[in-house]
Amino acid sequence: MTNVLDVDGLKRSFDDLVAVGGVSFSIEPGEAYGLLGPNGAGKTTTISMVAGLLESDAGSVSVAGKLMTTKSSDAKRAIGLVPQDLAIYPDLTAAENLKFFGSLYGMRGASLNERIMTVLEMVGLSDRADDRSDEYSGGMKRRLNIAVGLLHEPQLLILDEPTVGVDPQSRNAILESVEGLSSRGMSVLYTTHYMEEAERLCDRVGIIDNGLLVAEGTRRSLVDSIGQDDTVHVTATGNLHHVAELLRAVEGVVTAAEAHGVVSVVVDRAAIRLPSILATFTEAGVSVVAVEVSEPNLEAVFLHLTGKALRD
Amino acid sequence: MRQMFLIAGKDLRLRLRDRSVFIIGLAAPALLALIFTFAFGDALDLSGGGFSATYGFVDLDGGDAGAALADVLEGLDSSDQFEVTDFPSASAAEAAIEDDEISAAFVVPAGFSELVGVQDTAIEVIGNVDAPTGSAIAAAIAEAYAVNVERVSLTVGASVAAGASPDSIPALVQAASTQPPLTHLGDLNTVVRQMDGPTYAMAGMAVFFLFFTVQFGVAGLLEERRFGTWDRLMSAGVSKGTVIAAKAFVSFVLGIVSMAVLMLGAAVGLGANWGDPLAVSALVVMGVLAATAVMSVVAALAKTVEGAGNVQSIIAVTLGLLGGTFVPVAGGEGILAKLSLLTPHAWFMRGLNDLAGGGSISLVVPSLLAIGAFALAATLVALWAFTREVAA
Ligand SMILES: Nc1ncnc2c1ncn2[C@@H]1O[C@H](COP(=O)(O)OP(=O)(O)OP(=O)(O)O)[C@@H](O)[C@H]1O
Ligand SMILES: [Mg+2]
Repeated sequence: MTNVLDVDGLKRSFDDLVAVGGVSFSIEPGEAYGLLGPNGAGKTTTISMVAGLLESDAGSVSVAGKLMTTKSSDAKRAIGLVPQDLAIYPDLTAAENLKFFGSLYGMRGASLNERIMTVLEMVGLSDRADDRSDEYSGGMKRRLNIAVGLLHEPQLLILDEPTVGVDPQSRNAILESVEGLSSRGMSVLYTTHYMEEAERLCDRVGIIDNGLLVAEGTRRSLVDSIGQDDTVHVTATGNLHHVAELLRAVEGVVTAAEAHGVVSVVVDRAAIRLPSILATFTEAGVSVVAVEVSEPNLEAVFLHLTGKALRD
Repeated sequence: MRQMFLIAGKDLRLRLRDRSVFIIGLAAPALLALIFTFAFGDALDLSGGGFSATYGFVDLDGGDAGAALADVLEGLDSSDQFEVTDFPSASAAEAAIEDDEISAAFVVPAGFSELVGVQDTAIEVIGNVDAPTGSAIAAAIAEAYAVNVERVSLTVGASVAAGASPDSIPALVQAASTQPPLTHLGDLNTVVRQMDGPTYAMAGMAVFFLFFTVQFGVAGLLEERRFGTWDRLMSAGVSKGTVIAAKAFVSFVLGIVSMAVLMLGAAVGLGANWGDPLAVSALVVMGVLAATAVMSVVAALAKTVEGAGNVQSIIAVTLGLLGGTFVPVAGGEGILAKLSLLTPHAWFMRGLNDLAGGGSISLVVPSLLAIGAFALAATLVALWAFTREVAA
């Protein structure tokens, strides 16, 4: 069976900045694939080339066997895009937005209306169909944004960080809709910098940093690849950057990075190394507020591979 | 094509939902035109019922030629718009001008009748700087009369050579000189070929606001970017050209509707007489194309809706003022009049002025060509700007 998506050696620079430096991956039918990476990793740039919105400098994309370029309407038809930023008309109602975009895809009449009801149902907006979208909450706008991408029953749904800036409740609603779609066999390409989302939604995850895929696989295989290392999260106040540097020299510490008042330390065995880790904090004159030890997860994988915390 | 109309339809719906297009496209120009008509109606009115002038007449000649001009002016006096008063001397007439009692004075110099055709002599017209139109009309009458006097002396000379009796000369002069200037008066409309006041005001405001109204179409391009929907359109396989065409089409439709409603409204409500419908339509279509093209250039180069709106407003106001949509500037001799010919507005107004005196589309070919050239140039610049942006 042909892959829903084949991305091969994709590159794109903006002047001197290499945003995407040679990315390759594939998505099988029915698979949910996650691109996990921090801000500026190149997720949106990759997606833009995959969706035929941006010319690539090198490499190729094919969607369901059709070559994607900025001009190929066939390949474009096979994807449904949910852009990172909202892409709906605030002065139109949800139903009017959907009707307009549906008609652009050649849908019309009763079948279009039926489909509009279906997708509104999927994202939980049926009862607000005739309200203008600028009267929606942020989370509802996001859900409408997703509904538009689903409308024409694409073979591949591409979602670019659909939960950014959304309250926890809406976020959960969005994740549930995506889960639902995925379980009904929709192929999904999902970008995020939230490890939990990638773990929850995606069959396979590609970890992207600085425009390159640094690792790829199922959650299990990625976690296994870093061995049995634990991650210790230390919440503290003081010069954490300096502490992270000191920690990297501590025996048993694989890597350490700080972000938002938390120092994350990848360590071979937390139980044994914890005293020397905490001692390092004390030596540096930094007071510790809380300590948490977690099982290996994708965040640890990212830290392990890049020496950076995922959320920066 | 279907996608183009879908996008245009969506935009029209958005525009109609937001009431500002009605204000800019219909209410504001109509209201301003009405204010101009009622507040400054007489000042604007150059040929219709509102215009009037009082002239002075000084006859130092006392001969046939002077008497003939007196007859002409008597004819004027009997019309509603003109009044002619005799003055004993040029200085008395000048004093009356100083006091703004008269718009201009005709002075027939002593010995004029004898000297005509023999040596240089001229009827003098003293104008009042505060009454430029009245003075200009006086000068035109005098000039037309003088041309006829020369012809009269030639005619009389020829008649005498052919054996006419010297007694009949006064009658010959009278006959030859009186009629033409009067005919000329009948043609006053062609000398001052001009829309009447309300018509001018409505035409000016309609074309002035046209350049604002069309913004609502092409600015939609920037709106697609702001809403993030540009990417969605592209991902639905819509081409950039289709989106641009849809926006230009919306501009065109809004422009045509606004002009049509205003001009038809003025015809019904103010009794505006636009002239030959075909020619007027051609001017309107060409004008809307030019406005759309100019505003497309700005939309293509601008980064934000607000930025574009500001630049578009500056352009619309500058071209509108220069083009004489508020105050007539075209047709004069000044630098402003020359500059105004660089605006589509001036050519649009000139075209309508030409049609106001009757005539068909052939009369406005220069205006159509000028506006068309403007539209073409702006379209080329806009296309260049769009491709430049697409390449980036
Ligand atoms: N149009 C552009 N012009 C210049 N630089 C750009 C452009 N688009 C992206 N970049 C740069 O390319 C890099 C990758 O950006 P991209 O938007 O792909 O990251 P991302 O992974 O989607 O980040 P985020 O999680 O913040 O959305 C960044 O350094 C960004 O500044
Ligand atoms: Mg992004």
